Amino acid sequence: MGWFGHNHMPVEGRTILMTGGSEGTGLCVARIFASKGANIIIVSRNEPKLEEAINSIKTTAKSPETQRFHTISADVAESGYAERVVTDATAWNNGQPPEIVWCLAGLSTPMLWIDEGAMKAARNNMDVNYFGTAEMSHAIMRAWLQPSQGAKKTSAEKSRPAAAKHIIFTGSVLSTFSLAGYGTYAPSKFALRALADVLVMEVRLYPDVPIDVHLILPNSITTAGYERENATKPKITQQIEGADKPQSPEEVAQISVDGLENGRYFISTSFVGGLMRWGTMGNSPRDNWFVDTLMAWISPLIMAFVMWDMNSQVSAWAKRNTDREGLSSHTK
Amino acid sequence: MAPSNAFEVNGRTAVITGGSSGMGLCVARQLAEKGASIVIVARNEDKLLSGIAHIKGGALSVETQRFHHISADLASPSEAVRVIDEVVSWNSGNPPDIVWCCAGGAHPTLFIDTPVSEFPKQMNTNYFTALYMAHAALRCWLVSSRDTSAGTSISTANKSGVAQVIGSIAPRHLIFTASFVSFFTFAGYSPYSPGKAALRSLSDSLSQEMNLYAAANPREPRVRVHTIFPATILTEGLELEDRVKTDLTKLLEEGDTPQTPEAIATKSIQGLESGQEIITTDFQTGLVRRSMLGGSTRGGFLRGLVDWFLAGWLAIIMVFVRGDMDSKVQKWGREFGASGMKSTSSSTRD
Repeated sequence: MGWFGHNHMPVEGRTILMTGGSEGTGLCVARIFASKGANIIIVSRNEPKLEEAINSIKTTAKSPETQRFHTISADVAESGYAERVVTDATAWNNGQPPEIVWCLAGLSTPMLWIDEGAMKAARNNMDVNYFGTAEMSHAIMRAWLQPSQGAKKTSAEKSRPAAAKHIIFTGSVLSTFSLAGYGTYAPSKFALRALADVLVMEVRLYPDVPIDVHLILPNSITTAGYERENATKPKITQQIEGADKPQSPEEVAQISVDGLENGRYFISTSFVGGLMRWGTMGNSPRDNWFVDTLMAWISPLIMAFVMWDMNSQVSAWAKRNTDREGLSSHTK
Repeated sequence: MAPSNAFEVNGRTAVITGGSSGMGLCVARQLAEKGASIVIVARNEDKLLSGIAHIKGGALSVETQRFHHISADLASPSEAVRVIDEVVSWNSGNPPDIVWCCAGGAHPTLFIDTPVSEFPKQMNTNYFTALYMAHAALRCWLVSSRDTSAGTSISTANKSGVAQVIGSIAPRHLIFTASFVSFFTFAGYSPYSPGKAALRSLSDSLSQEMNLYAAANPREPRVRVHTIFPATILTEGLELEDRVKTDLTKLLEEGDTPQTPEAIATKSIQGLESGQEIITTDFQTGLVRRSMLGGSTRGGFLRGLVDWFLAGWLAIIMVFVRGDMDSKVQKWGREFGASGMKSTSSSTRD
């Protein structure tokens, strides 16, 4: 539980690596951390975008003379990418692996299951959203916990008690709740949640290297990625999502950073997102056992009505949109 | 026969992946005992042959039931399509009535001790094989049926005299096999539980989408999506699993009572016959399911009410369960170090 006012994730003078850091929420997050005095490494595929992004990030730097900035071009969907990125980052960071790693690279290609391209999308979503994050967390945790012979602790580090390292996953409300039309996407986010739940338990095996694990659970974010998502999203999915108000990447970034500074494991970015999460707390760690228990009582009741309503909407929509050839085109 | 059987299999055709051993083999045999024609799918030809022999041994009516096996590695989408195509042509041009995905297995090792290549292997075995089969089956059921004129696409395998009310067509069934760890995961299961959690999410999305198709195509057989959530099963697969499993994970699992694959198959079929979509096969899994209900409160008002009541209690119980597991892991780390094993000494060095 966070103590009032205590910052559980100080970043000044520390080095933070972000995948998906060249646009969207990742870029906003990087700018916030730069303004708090952190050294920044952003990872993405597109080099011109990385250049543009790092220049934008530099402008918010708290102490531009001392803070350092770096870009690494990589495709998170590529098997083996993470080890190379961590090696590059460590070399640039004076032989120390970055202390905070936030995996923001992700995409969503919702479509109905029998649509052409659903299998490719399912594989791609899993590769980028799940494996992109799983591989990075694997590489960085090995670097933290099994440092190679070459890595040395600085004398300053040896004398100071170890500040916790942080690994941050970007999940989704669809890590806790599935919807028609998201069969290609939600499983990758559910998988992320399961991994986070295991890792937050396994890190307790290594008391000499404290590691905090966090899972952000946003709703829709108004980014370029969101535009791409809406290009494939079935109309019925748009309809049942109707009540969800998308948030700006700046807002999501700020709420997430606040949650991290409060030492939270789960960080929902809206009340609706919280409701969805409370319905599936399972055996995940609690940030506030009282609120989480109370809301776990209330949420299933609400969700039962939500589901009943959603299923009725799906049936009604189908009846309205069926012609002689069967279900009419559902994307455009 | 139960007064109202929501999972009629007599005279129908079932495809079972992972059907040559473990739970899949028992499922195949029990369905054969209830009169179904069976196709089993796995990689190893020898195992498939001995599996088919065992399944035939339980057949309800050997003269009318048919049996087939297909060797395939379902980790690629084209294999699943090939399997379904082969089943359809073997089944006189009719799609199978039931597709049950049992293929899967766990490699429970601690995260940083697991070679990175193991993660995609586990995801393939546990998630993608089921995903590709589900897709191939659903496309077969939902897309190609539009090409045949109404009525003739219905399976003609009703020779065993199962009466069918005119106008009412028995639903088709797509069945996933997930796991207890879809709801409740812990140290040691990082290669395995994400795939099982993903399966749960997939089945939830598909179940909702099937409402869409049912509403759009009221004259065609409904497709029902079901998911089984077993805990530990006493199979060959478990023996392989236990060889790599750390002592720490074994400690955390202590409360679980393993079941035989026969018992799992029986309970799963019972759940299917009573029309359930989310099926657990033991008390503890039934409880933890209520702690992760999310959007899965299916099964009618009364069941929903019971689920909700239990969900509240589970919410507070889980605080203690988690707390207990966390301190066990912490104590272990201090006493036995980072390997998760009792015998080796101390933690990682730098």
